Parts: sequence; C-alpha cells; structure tokens
Amino acid sequence: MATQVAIPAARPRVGARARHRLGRAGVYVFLVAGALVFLLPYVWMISASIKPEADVFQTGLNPIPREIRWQNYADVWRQYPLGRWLLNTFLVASIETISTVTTSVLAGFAFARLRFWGRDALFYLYLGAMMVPIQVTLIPSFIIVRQLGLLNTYQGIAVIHLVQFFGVFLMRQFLLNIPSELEDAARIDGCSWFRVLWQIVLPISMPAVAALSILAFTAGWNDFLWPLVVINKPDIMTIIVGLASMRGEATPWGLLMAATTISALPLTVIYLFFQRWFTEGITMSGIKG
Amino acid sequence: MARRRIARRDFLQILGGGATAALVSACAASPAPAGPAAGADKVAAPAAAKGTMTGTFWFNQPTQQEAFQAIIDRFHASQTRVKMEVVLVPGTEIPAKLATAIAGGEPPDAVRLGGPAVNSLFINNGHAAALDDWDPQIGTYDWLPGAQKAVTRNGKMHAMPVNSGVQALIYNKDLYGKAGLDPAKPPTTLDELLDVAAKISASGDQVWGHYTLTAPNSQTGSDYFPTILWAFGGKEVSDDGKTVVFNSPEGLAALQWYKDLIERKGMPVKQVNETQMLQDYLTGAVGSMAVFPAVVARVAGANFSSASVKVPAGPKGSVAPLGFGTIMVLDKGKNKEAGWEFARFIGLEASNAAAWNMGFGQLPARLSFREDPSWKEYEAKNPLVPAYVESQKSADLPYFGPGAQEIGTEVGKAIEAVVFGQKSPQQALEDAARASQTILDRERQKAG
Repeated sequence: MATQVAIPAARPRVGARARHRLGRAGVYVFLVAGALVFLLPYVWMISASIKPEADVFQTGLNPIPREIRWQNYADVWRQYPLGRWLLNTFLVASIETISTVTTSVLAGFAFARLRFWGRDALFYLYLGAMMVPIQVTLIPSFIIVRQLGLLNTYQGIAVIHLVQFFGVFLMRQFLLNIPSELEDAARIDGCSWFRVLWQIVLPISMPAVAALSILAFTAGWNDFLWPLVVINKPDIMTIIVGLASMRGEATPWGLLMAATTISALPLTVIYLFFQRWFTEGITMSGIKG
Repeated sequence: MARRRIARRDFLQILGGGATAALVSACAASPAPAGPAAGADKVAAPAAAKGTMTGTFWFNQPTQQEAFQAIIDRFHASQTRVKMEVVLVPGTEIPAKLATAIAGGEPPDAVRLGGPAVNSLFINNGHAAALDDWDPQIGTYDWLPGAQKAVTRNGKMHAMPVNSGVQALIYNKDLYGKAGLDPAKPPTTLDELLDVAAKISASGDQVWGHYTLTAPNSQTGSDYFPTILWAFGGKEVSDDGKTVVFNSPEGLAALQWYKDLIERKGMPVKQVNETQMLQDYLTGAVGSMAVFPAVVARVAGANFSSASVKVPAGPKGSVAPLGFGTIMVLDKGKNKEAGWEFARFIGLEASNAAAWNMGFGQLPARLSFREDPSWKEYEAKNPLVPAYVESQKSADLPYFGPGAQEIGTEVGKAIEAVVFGQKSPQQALEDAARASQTILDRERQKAG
C-alpha cells in the first residue's frame, strides 16, 4: 500500500513581494525627492520671472506670486536685443553641432574600425587632451583666433568647438558595440570604408548621433567664457553673455529671470523631443569600455 | 597601357611629407609678435596726430548703459580729435576678459575698473600706464587719499579715480515714527543703533530694525565688516601686511555687536547679501541699513520717506569704508593717447566728473569737485546724498592687499556662523583668523 504523504500547501510569498514593493517605493521616493531638488532652481526662476521686482527676494520660496506680472516678458524683449542674442546663439550652436557630429562620426569610426599605426596612442592622446580645462588653452586660442582675424565674428566663436574630443570618444565607444560582421560582409563585397560608414554604420548609429547632437548643441548654447573673450560687438553677442550683461549694481531680476526662462526654452523643447534617442545613445555608448 | 595607380601607402607617404614640410615652414616663419614694438607705436603716432584718433573703452556696468552713453555723447560733443568706441563688459567678468585680451595682444585703450583689488591686479602686473607721463602734476591734486594711495606705485599714479562711494546709514523715517522714535534724531552710536533696532522690531509684525550683510562672501567681510571693526578700533591686517589681526579684542567686540543685534531681535536670523538688503528695505519692512550711495535713487523712489546720516560711531569713532572706481589707461593699448584723453576728460574736469557721478549715483573722487555748481544742485535735489559727502571726509580703504577677497570670505563665514548661532564670536574669529593667515602667507609668497 502506497504511503500518502501530505504535502503542505505552498506558502504565499507575501514577504518577498512586499519587500520588493517597499524597495521600489523607496527608490521612487528617493528619485522624486532628487528630481524636486533639481527642479527647485527652475521653479524659482519661472516664479521670479512673473513677479514684480519688489517680490523677487521675499523671504521664503513663494513659488506662486502674490501678483503675476507677465509684463516682464514683454519688457525684457523690448529693452534688450533678446531676439538677436537668440539668433546668434542658434547660429553658432548649429555650426558647432554640425561640425562636431561630422568630425566625431568620421574620427570615431576610424578609431573603432580602422587599423593604423599609432591608433591607440593617438586615441589616448585625445583622451588626455579632454582633461585640459579651457582656462589653460584660453590665451593661446585667443592669440590664434586673433591672428586669423576672427575676433568679433561668428567663425571666431565657433572655431574652437568645431572638433570636440568628447564627441570622438562617444562615437568610438558606440561603434565598438556594433558587430563588425555587417561591415565585413560589405567589405568582402567590395565596399570602400566610406561607403561602409555611410550606408551601414551611420543608419544604425542614429541614437548616438542624436545624443551627440543634443550634447554639442547644448554645450554651444551654454558656452560663456570663450564668447565673452572673443566678442566685443554687441550685435554678435550670444544669449549667455547677454544675460551676464544684464547684471550690475541695479540688476532687474524679474527681467533677467524672464530672459533666462526664454533662453532655456529651446533646449528644453529639443530635449523633450529627442530624449528617447538621447538616453539610448548614451546608454549604448557606455556598455563596452 | 594600364594607368599606374598610386597605392594608398604611397599616397599617405606623400601626404605626410607635405604636412611635415608645411609644419616646418610655418615654424621657421617669423615668430609671433610678443606685443606692439616700441617702433610700432612711434610709426602709429604721427598718423593719429593728424586726424581723429579712435580709441576703445571697456565699460563694466552694462546695466547703466544709458547713463554712460550720455557721458560718451558729452565727450564727443566737446571735441573732434578723439572718438571712443565703447565695449560693454559684465562687471564680474572684466578680470578674465581683460587679462585674456592683454595676453592676446588686443587690449582696450582704457577701461573702467571698480575697487582697489581689481585695480591692483593690473597695476601690479605692469599693464597700467603711468598717468604722470601725460600730466606730471597729477599726483598733487586733491584726490581722496585712500583712492590715490591704492593706484600709486613708486610715486606715480597708474589709474584715474573717477568716482567714489562710502557707506552711510539710510533709515526709514516712517518706521521710526511708528516705533515712537524721533526721525530727526537717528542713532549716532552703535549702542544706540542696537536700541533703536530692537524698538523698531518690537513695533510690528514682520518688521526689523536694522539690516547688515551676513552672507558668507567677500563683500560681507571686506566691504561691510570694517564699518563695525574700525568703530571698535580694530584692523584687518597689520601695518606691515604680514599678519591677520582682526581676531583682536576689538575684532571680538565687533563680532559681538552682530550677535547682540540678533539676540535683541534687531535683525532676523538669515543670510543677507547686498541685493537682499536693498530689496527688503524697499518693501518698507526694515528700519535702517548702512549702504553705499549707488542705491540712493532707488531708495528715494520708494513709497516711504527715508533719510541718511553718517554711520554710527563706536568707542573709537566712525570711519566709513571707501570704495572707488577708476579709468585705467592700458600700457599696451594701440591708442592709449585716446584712452588718456577720455580719462582726463572725466577725471580732471569738475563738471564732467559731476555728470559722470550724478549719472551713476556715485560721489566725486576729488574733494574740490564737490563744489562744482552742477554737483551742488544735485545734492540740493537729493537730500540723501549730503550725508555720503560728509562721510567721505572720514573714510578709509578696507584691506586690499594679497588675498583680500578670500580673507573677506573667511570673515563673512565667521559672521554667518555667529548670526546662526553655530559658533561663539571667539571661536568664529579664531577659525577665520587661522584660515586667513594661511591665505595671506600663500598670497604674499606668490606676490614675491
């Protein structure tokens, strides 16, 4: 006669599930708190931009103004050449972005795929160059730009950012993740390296290209020190230098915050539209070191 | 016949050889000029002397562009020999931009600089032309002593003081009345100020008696703390410039005064910088503040009545901190003659100096210029101004030697710590003195 053994019913794994949910809740609380901390300056900026001058520095956060003054936006647009500053910045940032993406894709592909003498040494030299802060190269770059006759020109502002080592690094890291079998097949079929890059590698590198474009455009938009030293003419002033010129002994804080809010809008819009590609590009570039 | 194809290796070798040749030829070319040669100046001078000279002037207060444009128009209307092209530069960025331009061989001909520290930076590095080369008598004029001392090296003046500012006490007459105080009898001593501040604070909700700077920055320590420190007979640095001495019994008494102001609820426990102090005062919720004259126009426009008086005295009297601005002619400017003409127009002609200072809410840097009719009329129309002019007579420069800004920041941190009750005045002062001495030693070593 077979012995029947009572099998106890499986205990529900309530404890593990609850712990998991608690853990996730904790992570979300932490992330939300962190997001609020990062958002606080933006909240203050927007709030101050619609306050009367006397209310800007009232004690306490006061995110909702006692009196909303939309007129600040009209006033700053009228009193300062904000449109000109934005146009100048857009032009310079666009030039820098296009050039950075072009050179970074080409150089990144070369470092990732081509074999040539001194390739790795050259790449590490590039990495080392990335560590040098702009303050060190400021004066030599100024001298070069001056001797080229490019002071007070759009070209003078853009020239030192036409090639950015970070972009080369980003593209190289991304391209190292792409299997080389696709390219090998193309090369066997007789494709040149340039055609391999243009028709095979580039289409699948769009996330990285998008990420790099956003980063390069943002860097160009927010650049301050270099445009400050090469620009003397007000009509080619960029937005960040223009905002700095609004500060002084009698800074109109409401107008300044309105101008700052306006200047932040293009980047915010760009990021909102391209954030998926941006995240994907940065993530994939970081997988393989 | 098959066309000979150039192999990639050959192509690269040719390219490499060409690039090397180009590099060698570039390096063998004439060296980059270190700066305008003496000969170049002499060649340029005759051409400039014949026609209009065009000079470049950097102005460091873009927010006051309208007032400055009026001055430039006045200069151009007065003569046709010199034309100044103006570049507006954010004030806080002038050191970086000017240093780069000088090093890069593209300096302006003249620049407006504010304060002894920034002036010293460029004078000590040999970038400022000696004004005595144009006017050998310039050192004999009736400059404010502190301003002249700050720009003089080896008996020569290297910048033209064109405006000055001192602190005076501005007070809200309406709040004084509401607190039962006589607005015509403001406090004359620091002890009286404490009493008055306490009474005003007690007279209503969200009303405070007196504001002073408590933010942990160099402005608090360098521009505002000296008012109290000197009133108690203290000093920031020893006469030989080697030792920090604000941690003396006098310095302790000064810092104790801040603590007393907080403990008697004359001021709220919070970080206050210059902007916040003015903003809060303009709301009508602050009884008084010791402040520089640039704010006079905004205070006069408030919807309550204000008056001004010399800063209250301590046991050792009343000495107000002095600030000043200069026009500096750059030694390497391509048209420094034009820079000198503009500096002379503003700094050596009373009516022009008056126009300059009226436009910017500052005070003349020469004592006799206050007698100019246009300035007298301005004083009569602006009742807050005379107290500042009076205070100039007993004003002095805060410490501006090596490490001045960093030392000021350490003092500012000490004040904040005392205000927030984090440290006792003794402990805060000792900590600040220790840090400041390290800074002073380091900066003195750098300066050689």
